[in-house]
Amino acid sequence: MRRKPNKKGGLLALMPLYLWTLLLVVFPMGYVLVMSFMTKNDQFGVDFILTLGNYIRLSDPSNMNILLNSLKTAVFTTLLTLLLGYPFAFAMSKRKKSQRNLIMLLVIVPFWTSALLRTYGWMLLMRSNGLLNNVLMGLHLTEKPIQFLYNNGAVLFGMTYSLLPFMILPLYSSLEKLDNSLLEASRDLGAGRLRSFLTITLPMTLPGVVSGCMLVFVPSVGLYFISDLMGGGSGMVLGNLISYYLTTGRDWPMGAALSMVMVVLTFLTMGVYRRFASNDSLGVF
Amino acid sequence: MRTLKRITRGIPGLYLLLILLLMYLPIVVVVAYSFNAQPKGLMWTGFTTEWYPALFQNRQIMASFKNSLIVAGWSCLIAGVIGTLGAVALSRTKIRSAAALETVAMLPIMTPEIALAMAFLVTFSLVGLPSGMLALVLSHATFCIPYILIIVRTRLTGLNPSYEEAARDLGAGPVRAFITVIVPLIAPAILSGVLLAFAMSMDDVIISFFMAGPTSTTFPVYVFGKLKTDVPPTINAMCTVTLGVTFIAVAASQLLRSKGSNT
Amino acid sequence: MKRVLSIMIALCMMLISIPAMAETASPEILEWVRAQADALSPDQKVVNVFTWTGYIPDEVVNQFMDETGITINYSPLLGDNEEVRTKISANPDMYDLVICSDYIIGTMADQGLLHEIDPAKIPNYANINPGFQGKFYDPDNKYTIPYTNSIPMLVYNTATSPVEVTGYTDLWDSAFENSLVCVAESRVIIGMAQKKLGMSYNETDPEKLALVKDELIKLRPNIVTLNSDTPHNALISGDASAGFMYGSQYNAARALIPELQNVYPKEGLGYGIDNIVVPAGAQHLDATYIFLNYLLDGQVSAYISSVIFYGNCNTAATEFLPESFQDEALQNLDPQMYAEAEFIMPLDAETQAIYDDIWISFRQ
Repeated sequence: MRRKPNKKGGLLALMPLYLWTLLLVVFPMGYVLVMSFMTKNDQFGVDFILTLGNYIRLSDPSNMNILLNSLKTAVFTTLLTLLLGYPFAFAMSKRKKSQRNLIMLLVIVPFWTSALLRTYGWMLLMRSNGLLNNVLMGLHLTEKPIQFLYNNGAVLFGMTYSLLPFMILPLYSSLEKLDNSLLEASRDLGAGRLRSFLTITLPMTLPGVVSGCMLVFVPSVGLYFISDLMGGGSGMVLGNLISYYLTTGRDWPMGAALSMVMVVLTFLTMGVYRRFASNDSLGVF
Repeated sequence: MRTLKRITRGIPGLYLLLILLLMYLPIVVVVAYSFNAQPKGLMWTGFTTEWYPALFQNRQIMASFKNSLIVAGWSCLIAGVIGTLGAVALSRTKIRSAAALETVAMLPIMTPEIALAMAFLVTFSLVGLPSGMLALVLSHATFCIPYILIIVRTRLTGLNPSYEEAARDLGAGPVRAFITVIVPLIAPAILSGVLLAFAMSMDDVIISFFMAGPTSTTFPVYVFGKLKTDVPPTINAMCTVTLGVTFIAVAASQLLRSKGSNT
Repeated sequence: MKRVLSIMIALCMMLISIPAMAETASPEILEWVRAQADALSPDQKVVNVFTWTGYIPDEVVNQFMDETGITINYSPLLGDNEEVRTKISANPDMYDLVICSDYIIGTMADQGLLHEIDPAKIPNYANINPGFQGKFYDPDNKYTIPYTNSIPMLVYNTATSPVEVTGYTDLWDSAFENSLVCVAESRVIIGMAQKKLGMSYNETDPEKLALVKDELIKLRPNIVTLNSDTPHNALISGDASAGFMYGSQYNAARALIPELQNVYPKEGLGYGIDNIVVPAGAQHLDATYIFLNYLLDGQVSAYISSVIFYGNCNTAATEFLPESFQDEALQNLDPQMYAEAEFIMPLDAETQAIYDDIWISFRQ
């Protein structure tokens, strides 16, 4: 690929992003980082006494359990969205252009309604005297209402529902870019459908898989309103824990340390991601 | 509708339809409950349309919705410009710090919102910037930039650099080549990036709560406050109205986008 | 086109005609606020309010604005009291009137964040029920005007509950497995175990607190959901058959499920007072005092109580309180128990860390 040596213009165009990131991302996030090494004040805020105590407390069994539980939910959510999203994106990419655009539109629109209200919508359907139970009882499929809400299954369902579009969009864009002549060539050489899928399609769309997984995994560690509402909120996830320390618990440094854990998790997933995806296909949508 | 019918042919079609139906099920419930006569929205008691006029009569809803539009508008404008320029520049430079910059620029959408909100609050109060419109716009633009950056960057990686080179060979300066060649090519991506960022800004609660001043309460903050006691049908009505407007806006953007990718 | 026009005209008509509200305020107070407001310069006709959505009902706010021309900017408080302090510390001159809970007020006053209220500027100051004044967070009544008092209560569905509930202890009954709803407030829930074991809400002995932790973890299998904001929804939907919540929430559920019954736990009551405070940097003091006096009017106060359904702190309001308020919220409350109700107070850092651990272990 030829590139015109146009470094100056490139750097000039990079300046606004550079400055903005420095002032409004690095500066505030640096504050969180510094705070995570401070001591909490008895009354309010922080005392500027350096400590590693907040990070050491991360290994407390209860903190650790919450962290592991969040990770477990996040892993399951990611796998489930991938299992549901890949066939969807695959089927979508086989459609005609006009149909593909319509489906894309239909996938994006739910983004535009309040995530909270959509969750309430599910709760209205799934609660004990909700529509779903009424239908099941009306059909005599069940005698007593089934409790769909307030368990781990409901959390997984809610998370998968909310994050599925984040999986579908990058998968679709990598499937759409796929060069069909490669597939045809492999079929001509006698490879079966399954084999050409495994040897051509899957490896070629791996960057899409990885970026979709990242876009789902990272938010699902922190997304807590779904586990609060649909899971009943008796079990905390990392997001609640951070929120608790930053508000009711009045322990800002601990909240900051937990936030840094999330940031590190993000960097790790992005690192894995960069390893898999070549720089040129960095785009996730 | 005809396209929809053709889509649903065969098992893959049925699968697409099933997932899409699931995606829209809770939204149908939200819309349906905007016609619920029960003012607390807890149980279905009867059909009414009274919440729609009540919606336009409610000063707080109207004022907060206006605030939200202003914040989302300005932050998307800022993020659109900075994100687009950044994406173009990033796709052209190979310097090592660019990769780091890109990762760091993504942090706002990868950090727990409450931590980011408190970090903004403390940093802004440190430099003497009071909570209010300006603080809202600055913070929203910060988390809007990543979305635009991601989407525009993808479009650029698929772009053949020979277009720009041809323009340059024909004597266009770098700025002119950018405006006349690059921008039209990536316009659909910019638009979808901005629309996604707009949606994220219009749905943000926690950062908006900490950044808002007395006269700049945003719509999601108002809604969230209301949802703490019950789910009033006026909120559902407002969402139904915005949903309708959204459908039109997204449809328009998709049209533009497909037009753009045909070239 | 004509149709559209007529719809638009109809909409405009609806916008103009604001329904008259007769009983929300006394004629005297309306006259008083109008006269006071007229003396204000236009740039002083603002009050920036910060509290939970609906805590001052829309009708009360709107009527005050219509009568006086003073604009009330109502900023919703989304989370708990810590957020009040966080926002006020960062922006000391942003709000003029804040309503928040007892324990946070003491620390805010210590930080110098609060304005000393001048009773001379509030003719209705005498309406305050002195029983709600002089508490630990403001012993000399310098900074606070009590707004509501609240006692969390047990609620159970007489039709579906397996047990007749009389106290916290009943909630530990294994028959309640996966069928209790509680407010998600750490101190309130830890307090249930404390009262069950006969301790204070503000226990500091680590050994005793270890017992509390064990006791509370035994309650966990019975909890179907924790929800601070809308715990009543789980009772309405039938997902829970009993729970622990505030009067306003019980009342909202009771309106739809008549089988619900509230019970004041025999082991002892928790108690809280939410107060009106004025931040030290308030920019619109004159208008704020006018609004304060309006809120303390007996009729206004009674109207507020009838809407938000928290306990009333105003002696002049008693005669205007609706009968339902007396009947449902406070009917079976023993005065002796009420007198012995205990405040939840702030803790020192070490004890707070133990409470944090109990709460997080309970929810892990």
